Amino acid sequence: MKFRPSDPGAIVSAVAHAALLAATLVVFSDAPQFREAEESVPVEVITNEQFNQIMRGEKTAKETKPLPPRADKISEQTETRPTPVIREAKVDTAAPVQAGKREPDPGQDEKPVPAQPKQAAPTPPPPKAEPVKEPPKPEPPKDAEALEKLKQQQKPEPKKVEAPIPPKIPPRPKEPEPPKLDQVAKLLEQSKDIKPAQKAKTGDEQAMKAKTDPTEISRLLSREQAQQRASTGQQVSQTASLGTATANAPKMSPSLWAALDGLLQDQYKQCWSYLGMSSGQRYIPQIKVEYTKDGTLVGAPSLLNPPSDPSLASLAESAVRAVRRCNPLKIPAQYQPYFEQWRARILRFDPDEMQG
Amino acid sequence: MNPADIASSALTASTEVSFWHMFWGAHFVVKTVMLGLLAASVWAWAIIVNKFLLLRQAQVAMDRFEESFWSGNSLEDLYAALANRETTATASLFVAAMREWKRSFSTASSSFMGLHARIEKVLDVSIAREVERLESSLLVLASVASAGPFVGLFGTVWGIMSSFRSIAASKNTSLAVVAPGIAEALFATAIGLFAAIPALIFYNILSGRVARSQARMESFADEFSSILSRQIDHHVGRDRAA
Repeated sequence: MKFRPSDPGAIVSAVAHAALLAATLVVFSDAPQFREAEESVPVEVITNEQFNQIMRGEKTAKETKPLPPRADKISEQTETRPTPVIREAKVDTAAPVQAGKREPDPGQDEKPVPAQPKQAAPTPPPPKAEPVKEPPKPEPPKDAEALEKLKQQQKPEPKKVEAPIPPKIPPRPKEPEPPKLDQVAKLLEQSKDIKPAQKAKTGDEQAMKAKTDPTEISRLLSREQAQQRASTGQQVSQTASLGTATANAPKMSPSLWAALDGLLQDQYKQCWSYLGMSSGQRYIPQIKVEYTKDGTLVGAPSLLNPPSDPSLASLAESAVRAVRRCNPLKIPAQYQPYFEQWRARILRFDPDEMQG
Repeated sequence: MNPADIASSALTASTEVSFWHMFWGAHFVVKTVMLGLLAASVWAWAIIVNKFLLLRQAQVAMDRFEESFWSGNSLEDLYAALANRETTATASLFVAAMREWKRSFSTASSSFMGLHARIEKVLDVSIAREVERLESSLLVLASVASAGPFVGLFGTVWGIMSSFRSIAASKNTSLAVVAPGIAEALFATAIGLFAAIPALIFYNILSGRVARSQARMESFADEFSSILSRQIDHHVGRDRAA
């Protein structure tokens, strides 16, 4: 193609491409990052009262046995503990390490094993010697009184002697540590020599090497940000909340509920006068009411299901009227602690039941 | 090494994902492919712009010429006006045919025998020349349209290949390590498609317009040759009468 000066195409195209490139460099200069993926955790919606109930707790609740670790979800795979194969490999490597003390030959692996009991043996004798040394000290005084005093002193003394012994025993096994460090250094040097021979012996060495692969380490390191995760387990924890120690929110038992229902029904029955013909339609007005602690209404009672049939409106109105007439409701004192539970109720005025 | 250091280094490595970093991080072959495709895109758009202007120009010239041709003025005057000017499309057909006509008459042995056939030939040649001018380098668009995606795909395959090799070398398969290489590789295909799609669309549009211009020139050539053949017959009859 000939680039003639009369052809503006080349210039136009070049300029347009340059502009487009610049625009893309600006617009796509930074790639948008994904939002953090959040794992969903099952939740339940609870009302204020239920929350209070949980927080205050129920002191008389049956205490459940502590379950194994808390689990929000059932785990998809069970975790297995390290296999014993790895431990066997450790035992194999430990034995040649001590063999190296004296001779690099792996054949004398078992010699150091008796040496360990020797180191442990010297520790018990000293405590025995101490009680022996101390009794002689009180002997020089010859007076009987002195003897008695000494006997009394002796009685506590052995206790004192015995008491310090137990703390002394733990530090003593520590004494062989410095030599051990040297030994370890020597053994490390010798183990280098030994390793080639060991490789031929056991395949476990290779397993150990595979475990320390650097790529494995980077794989094990978590690159994810720390965040709340639902813990998993064999089964979901279902422990009842025992709540705080300073509050109490007991639950009404079914029998208490039944008694309260009966009480309310009796009171409303007396207040309700409805002399309507029961039409073919079955209509039960439902009225939502809210009480204070002493049984008076809070706000106006609201009819939840206004009737579609106008002939039933009188029934609904009569029910609302009954609620108003019974306004200071007599509620026995035994229900006071459960106020939160009966505070708001939905009353159903069944004409058949009330007249019967 | 501290795990926090590893994490932070991985983060800083993965944050540089702008087009510029994608381009510079790419393999040499992929870079070449990208630059080649970008050049192809520039060239294709240059051709598109030029062809649009040329076709518009030819269209206007044909309209103007046909207006004056059918206005009833004498063809001699029209020829005199156009002969010394650079002409396009139908005007150049007219000039070529008239030149042949004049040449046949100007010579002493004015032979009308093969004149009609000669004029036909001259018109055909002129049409071929004009069409060639109109559709020159449209084939470049067709080539870019068909080859662009393949070239881009080659760059992508190469880039993915090299990124897989680096995975094998680093023994790290986390997505943060793999993603930049693959993004670079896919960038090559993106440029290929960016060049090929407009090239394909405008090749179809432009070749359609060239075909229309060609049809218009052929119809004009037929009409003009029929007019000239009538003139030839008229002259021959007059000569015989004389």
